[in-house]
Amino acid sequence: MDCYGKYLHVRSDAEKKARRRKILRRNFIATAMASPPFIGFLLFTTLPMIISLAISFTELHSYNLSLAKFTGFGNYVEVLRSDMLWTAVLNTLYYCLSVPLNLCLALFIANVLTRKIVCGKAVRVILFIPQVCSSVAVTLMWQWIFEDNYGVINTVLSALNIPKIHFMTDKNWFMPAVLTISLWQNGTNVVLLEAAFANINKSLQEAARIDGASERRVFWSVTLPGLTPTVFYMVTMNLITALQEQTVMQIITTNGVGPGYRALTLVYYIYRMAFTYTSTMGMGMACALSWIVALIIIIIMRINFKLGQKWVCYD
Amino acid sequence: MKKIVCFLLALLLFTPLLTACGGGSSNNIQFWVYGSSDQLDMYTRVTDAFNDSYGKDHGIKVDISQKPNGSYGQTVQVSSTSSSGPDVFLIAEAEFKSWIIGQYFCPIQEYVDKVTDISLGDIMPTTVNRLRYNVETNTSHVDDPLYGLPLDTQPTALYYNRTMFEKAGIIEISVDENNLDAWNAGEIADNNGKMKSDFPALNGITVPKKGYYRSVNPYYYDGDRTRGWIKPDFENGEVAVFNNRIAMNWDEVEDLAMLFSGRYNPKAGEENKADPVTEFGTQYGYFTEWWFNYGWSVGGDCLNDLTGSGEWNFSLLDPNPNYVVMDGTFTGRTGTVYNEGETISFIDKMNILSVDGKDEVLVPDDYGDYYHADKSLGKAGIWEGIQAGLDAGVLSQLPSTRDAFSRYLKLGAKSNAVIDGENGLDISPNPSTFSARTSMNYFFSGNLAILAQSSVYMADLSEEAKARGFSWDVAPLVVYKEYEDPSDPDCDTVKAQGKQAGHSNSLSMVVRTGSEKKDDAVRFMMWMASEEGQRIRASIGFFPNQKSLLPEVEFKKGVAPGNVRVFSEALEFQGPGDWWYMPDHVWVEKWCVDLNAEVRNGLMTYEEWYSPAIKRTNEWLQQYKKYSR
Repeated sequence: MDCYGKYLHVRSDAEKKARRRKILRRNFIATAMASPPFIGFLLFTTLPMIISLAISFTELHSYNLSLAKFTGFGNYVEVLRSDMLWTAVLNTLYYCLSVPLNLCLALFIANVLTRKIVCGKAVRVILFIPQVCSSVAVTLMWQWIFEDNYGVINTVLSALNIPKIHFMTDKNWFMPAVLTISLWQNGTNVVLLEAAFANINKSLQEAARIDGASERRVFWSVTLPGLTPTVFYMVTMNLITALQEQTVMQIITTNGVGPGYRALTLVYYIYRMAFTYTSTMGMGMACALSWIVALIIIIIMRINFKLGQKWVCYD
Repeated sequence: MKKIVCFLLALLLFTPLLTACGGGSSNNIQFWVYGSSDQLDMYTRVTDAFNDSYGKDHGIKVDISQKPNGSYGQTVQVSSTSSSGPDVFLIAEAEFKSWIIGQYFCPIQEYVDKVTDISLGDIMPTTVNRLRYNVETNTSHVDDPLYGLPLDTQPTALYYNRTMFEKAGIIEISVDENNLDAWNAGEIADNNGKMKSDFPALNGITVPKKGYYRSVNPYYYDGDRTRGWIKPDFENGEVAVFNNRIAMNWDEVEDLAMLFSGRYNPKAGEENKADPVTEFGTQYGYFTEWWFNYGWSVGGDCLNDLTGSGEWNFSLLDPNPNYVVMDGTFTGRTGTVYNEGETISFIDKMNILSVDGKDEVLVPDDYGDYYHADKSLGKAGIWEGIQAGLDAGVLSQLPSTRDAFSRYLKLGAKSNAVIDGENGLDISPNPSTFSARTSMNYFFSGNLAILAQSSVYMADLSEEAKARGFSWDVAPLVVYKEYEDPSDPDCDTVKAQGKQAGHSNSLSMVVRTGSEKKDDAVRFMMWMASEEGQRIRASIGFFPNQKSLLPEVEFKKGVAPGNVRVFSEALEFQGPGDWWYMPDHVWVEKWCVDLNAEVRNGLMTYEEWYSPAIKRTNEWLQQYKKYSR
């Protein structure tokens, strides 16, 4: 014991106290530093969610919460009875076509970019620019492109003596036009897939080629399975975004709902319930639909993850 | 240093939390405004004048605070429950009723009644009555509670391109109907200082009392079919005169519009193009975004209150004729006395039976017509007293609201679209084609010859016209007018005439429900709406609410056209648009979304559209009775 005694130092009470104080101070500072975002999360995410859930059981046509009247599940029943809800669901699903379309286009472009092409870097920058532009500005730009009288497309069609296409007023053309905007803003997907392409195990591809596999076979059997984790991530994120589409629809329409209510997606319908259809629907119904939409997204994501287990290759 | 940076970073992370904090309170009246630079300048000037005069004498000080246009409404709404919001704020009529239901502002009649030292003068009822609302019954009768006072009202009129008219060979005159005989006799000059002798082409011609006169082949609608339009033959002596002091009738505006429509008068080489233009560069002749002018002119409306107490029904497709008093007075079914020029209301023209001493409530069907409460009695039809009025020559029959509406629809419908059995005229752009530009932009770009729009665009248009080198003026909105013989170009004897009608936009002042200075706030509002306040507005080019002040409006140099008084005159009869009728506009979407996108583009027939549209709209109108208030 003695021979080790010089190495041992038994802390005095004062030292222990000082150390505890130091730890406490350090914890306090760490907690203080971490608390603003946490408080922000509580105040601006958790609390609104709780309030929204509470409002969904009331009738409320104002920002003034004291005017809310309890209606039980009345709003949920009204929302599910609303004929516009099913229009909004169909429109949202239609818009979700942007997910596979964007994915295929991004896959094609990323595949091309992995090869040595002229001005590859410039092409990448050009492809990514739409992604960093404001959605509002991009939508307004496309609104001009699709314009009936002076839009680029219709000007060209007129010059060719082809009847104009009323992109914004013909319900058959409206959604394809909106999907085009989404396709144009595909930069992030391309970048992610290009990175995924770069991470594919080259030795596996080489081995397949040595075994006599064609380039197509290599792509389908080696490259694509290697991309599936990224593709799965993209499907998940893009699907959530598509299910929440509102900005483009709100800006691009002139009458607020598009031709034949084509612009009315679920989230846009929530917005209109709260702020446009305030008197006949109002905040209560908007909150109820918000929770229904949240539930729909959770179910779709659950299905997505279940299916993902069957096709995503993490090896 | 590190600690300071950490502290600042932490503070930065807290900043979002600070956004919820409001400003402090003040003893002064807080007046929140938004608008264009001209409007903001006007609000400031009138407020300053109040502070220097009435406010100073009564110890009231008003602080004016400008808010961003885009978020004004939300800023005010959010402040409704706080102690630091505005005392007085502005409200557009589209939000008026929904904000009352949301209790963002309060009734003011009791405060107005207390004020005895401010007079509203001869304020026009059309500007005040739209600010009344009974929340319980969802009605706006003259005895319903008053919620605000008018500040800025913007009437509508027809803007037209004078340069284009001149190029087309149309003679433009500006002679009031009462002065036309004297002008024809060469005794007086018109409002532009032109004598008849200044127009050699008018030698030997007596210009009739018409908004648009063609000496040969005037276009007219004969009730069964649309007669083919014949282009004016100016080379062989035909004369066309446009008088901007007389409202055109429906035939005249269509006739004029066809001259400027590529479909009827294409430039050489444009004949076979999909969207031809005229030699004047126009694609279309005439555009009005609103049906009101047509429907109201014959005495119809898009909503009828079947009981007078909020039993609203969609009536735009009512097939029953309307009636106007042509001579003397007429007493309607309910005892209401109508004077010359007034149209008979729905409740007075229909054959409503008395059941147990009470009027029955008519039952609307899905085709626009009305049945007796006891459906076995069949359609209600027209009250027998109306026939007596017609026989006595007191009343004249006018088109039904449905006819007026379909006439309006035909303007912008494509030629392949069939509206109530007749093809579209395609002389107007479809309102929904204005996706990236406004109709005014379309007008000053030279695509359109005549446009119905609000007075608010005058300043913008004068600048654009200057830059683009064309001149413009305004004329009254069109009116229903039937001549004894429409095929005779010189016949101006009127067989039946509807009333002048149209809509004006209004921005009003209201008092926030939570304000603790309501008495002073109402005093300030009353002063702003009074002759004193409105005179200041008039002096800087804003139309006042008092009839007696209308001649005093002074515009900035070059802003106002020669016939600007058309706007002043319109203020007296123009009311709010259909966006004001109900607390929100879902009911409008129920009938107009398919109409604009499908029917007008020929993708759906009128017959396919109207019955489901009536059903949907009437069903939705029931919703306005459901929610608690």
